[in-house]
Amino acid sequence: MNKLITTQELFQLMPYILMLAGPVILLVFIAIKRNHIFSWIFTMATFAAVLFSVISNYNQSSLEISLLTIDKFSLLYTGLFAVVGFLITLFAHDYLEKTSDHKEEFYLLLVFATLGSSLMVASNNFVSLFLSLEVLSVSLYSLIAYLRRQEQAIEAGLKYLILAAMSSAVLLFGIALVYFETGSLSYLGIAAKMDSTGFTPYLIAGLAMIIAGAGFKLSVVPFHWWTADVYQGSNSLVTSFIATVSKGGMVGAMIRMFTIIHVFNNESIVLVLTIIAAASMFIGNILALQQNNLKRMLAYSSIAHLGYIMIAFISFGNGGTDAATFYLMAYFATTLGAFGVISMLTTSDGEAENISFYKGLYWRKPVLAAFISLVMFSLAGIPLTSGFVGKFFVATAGVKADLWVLLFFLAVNSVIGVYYYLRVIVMMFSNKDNSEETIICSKGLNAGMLAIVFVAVMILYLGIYPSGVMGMIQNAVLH
Amino acid sequence: MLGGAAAWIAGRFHEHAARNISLITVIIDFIFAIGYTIANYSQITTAKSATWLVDLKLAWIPQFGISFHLAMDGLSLIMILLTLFLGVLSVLISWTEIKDRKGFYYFNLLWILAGIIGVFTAMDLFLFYFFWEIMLIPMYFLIGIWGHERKIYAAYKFFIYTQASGLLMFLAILGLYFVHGKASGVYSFDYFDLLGTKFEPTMGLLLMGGFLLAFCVKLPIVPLHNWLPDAHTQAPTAGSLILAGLLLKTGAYGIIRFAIPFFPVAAHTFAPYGMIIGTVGIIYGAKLAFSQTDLKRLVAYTSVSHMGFVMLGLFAFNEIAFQGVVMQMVTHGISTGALFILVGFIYERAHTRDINSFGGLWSQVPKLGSMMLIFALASLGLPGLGNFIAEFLVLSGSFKANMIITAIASVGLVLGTIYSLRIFQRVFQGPKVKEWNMVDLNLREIIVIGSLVLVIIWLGFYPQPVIDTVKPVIINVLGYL
Repeated sequence: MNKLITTQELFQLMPYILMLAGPVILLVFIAIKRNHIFSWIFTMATFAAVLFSVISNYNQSSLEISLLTIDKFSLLYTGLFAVVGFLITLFAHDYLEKTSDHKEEFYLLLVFATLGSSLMVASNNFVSLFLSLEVLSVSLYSLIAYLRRQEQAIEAGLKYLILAAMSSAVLLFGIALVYFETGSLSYLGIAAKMDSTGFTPYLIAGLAMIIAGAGFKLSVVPFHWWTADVYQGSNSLVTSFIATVSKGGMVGAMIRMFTIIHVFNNESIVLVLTIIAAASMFIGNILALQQNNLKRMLAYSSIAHLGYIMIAFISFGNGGTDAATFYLMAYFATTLGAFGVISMLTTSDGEAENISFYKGLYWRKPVLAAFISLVMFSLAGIPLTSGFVGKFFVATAGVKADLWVLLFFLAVNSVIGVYYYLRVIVMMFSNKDNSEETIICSKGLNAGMLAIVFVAVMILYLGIYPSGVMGMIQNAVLH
Repeated sequence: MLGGAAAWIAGRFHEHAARNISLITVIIDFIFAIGYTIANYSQITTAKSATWLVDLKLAWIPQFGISFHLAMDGLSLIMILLTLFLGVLSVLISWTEIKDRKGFYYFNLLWILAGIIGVFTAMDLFLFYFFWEIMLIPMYFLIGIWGHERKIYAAYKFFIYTQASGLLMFLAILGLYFVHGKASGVYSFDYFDLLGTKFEPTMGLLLMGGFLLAFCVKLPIVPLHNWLPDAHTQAPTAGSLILAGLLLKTGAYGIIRFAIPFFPVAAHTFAPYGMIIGTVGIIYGAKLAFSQTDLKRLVAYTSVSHMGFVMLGLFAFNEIAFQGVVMQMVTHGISTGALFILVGFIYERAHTRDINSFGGLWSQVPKLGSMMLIFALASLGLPGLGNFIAEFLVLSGSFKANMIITAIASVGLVLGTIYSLRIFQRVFQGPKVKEWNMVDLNLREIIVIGSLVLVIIWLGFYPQPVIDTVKPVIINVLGYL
């Protein structure tokens, strides 16, 4: 590995280099002179450049260096994260104007966190996995507590800090155990060793700890305790980032890891994952039923959605990875939409998070309300939306793998889910009886509107004509 | 001809305007459908086996063998005609009843119709499920926004019942897809590919159970009927009309089209239970209908009773019974729909549906009363009106299959007489409980009801066109058994 990096390789690494360079340059600018509009546009330009370089590299043959693998799969996820980052940035300008007194650093952290997630997917080695995970987590600590004048944000940040550090420690210990047993940190090396030794107890313990560490990031039951508080406490844009990019990065990383290291040959690990999936679906949905706070509700529902993704995950090798990736995309679009709207409706007085706030919204803001309905339908998995197609793919993978029990749970949970998603819609369409409060919208609403239109188009596009995107995923995803 | 079915649906999808536009759209569709039927009538009825009158297939998600496949045969055609006919009426009766949020209301109404037509024509199981769900959401809004006093509760109940059963059907569809795929190597959701798939007996029963559950909830069959009285009672008149006239029929349609041809062996195993459940439904529905005081609820329970006949006929597995089932689907759509409309008219005038607060209305509103009399008689199965033909055919068909059950089911006719006459007698005759200030039917209302009367009489005296149209389909379905 002593060779120098060639130009070609440099070019293929460009998406990641851009994400690193962008914030550094921005940092210099902030040091010289603060300008919100400039930082905003610069960040969008960074994400656009990343997306562009992803697209131009997309058809290259894959690049394998000692820590990273740059192939279609990593590029697909990186491109996805760049789009999400771009959309969050679109929402961010107005939101930060309303809520925060120091705005520019938000963008730095956002790009860094996206970089962390993207690198996680590209990692082919536990070292790079852990490093990129920390890039992501450390950025998130400060992002969550970004609105430093709000007690809730500080509380959420601290909670996340402690628990994430804890989970990193568990993950590290797991890595250490695996290393102890196999003498290798790269996935390929571990897999090669495992072929000869099989599943030794240390190895299983190590893998279990890695799964626990990953489970924390994915917020699946029983590692879900932080979710609701952090979702509620941090500002909605950061929440949407946690729900999408941060979880997506971990899902991507797990897919890559488990494609190489065949943990699904081990029954006890499969059993554990099955229990995690079932528990996530039920506990997530049942807790979501009881929430009156939209952000908390979405937090619990995200636990359930990750449970659905776990089903696809367990049916590895049966199109499960395709399904998981597609579901992730669908879920990204809807989650981003939901939190984006919350951020748009938020005033400087507080977040628009109470469900009663949405009462009669349809008669005041029909477009936004129609959009929220679309998002809720998609989360509930109603046809014509991406959520439905995602669920369909997950179910298909599950049937192929004969996971009938989990699928039955999926059906039951979908019904539970429908109930609370509909509740939001019913709220919006019910009569405005005593709600005199008017929603003040700032002038710059158009940027957010643009993002919303884009998300809505995505939801419908994925819902009505998924074959294009699915073809791309099948082409890219590792089998 | 090929684009026919697609054009109806495509035309609907972007339809979104006030009542005039919706009326015109539906009427144009209806005229188109009638024109089509008349033009091709000879071809439809003389065909030996099931010919597909319209067949449209486009690739949709080829990776999973999903296509946008619509096709229409005699059965679909009849159901589409019924759909559009009731569609026109439902727009007409909403004319004055719906006062606020009109645009959104008609938008929902047309979406339901589009979904129903889609269900009646989809020949790809994925697409079928797609339409099956599409018709739920606007119906949910229709009940939830424009319904009566307990609308939210009813809307939830409706949605959750149908959604839950729908998802189980979806799992069954997936199961079917994979059983077929494993056996033949061709993974496809297409109806024609999946026909004739062989099953292990238990697997077949389980999968059929998934389908049947969804269809029986829609139909509804007695233990699963709980959503229906609430949904019907709370929905606006047009909503009740569409629910009773069309949504319930999608259940029966599904059984004829999918459940029986896919799972002939399992269907045979289930047949005696199916007939018993149907009979229980007939008696139970009639009994409950008799004890209701809310007019709309009463009519809703008569639906339960009538749908019991459908279930009975379906699992008798012979041609006469199947003919009866289709007739029952059509005539029940007309007669119960009409009853809901009439109750809606009464409600618009009196603002109550409580049967005890009426009495002796005949002298004030003779036209309304006479219309009610006609449909009460239709509902009890008076010869000369369409329902008689239907129930007679079902019973004579099922008599061949099982005498005892049929004998019990016939009691339902007697009970039907009791509850039907009770509606009429309590509302329009007897002493006046309260002085109502009512106006009789106006021209629009007369057109609506009059057209229904004409159809029900026509079906009573000359049902042959319907029978001829569906005959090839029925023979074809029986061929799978």
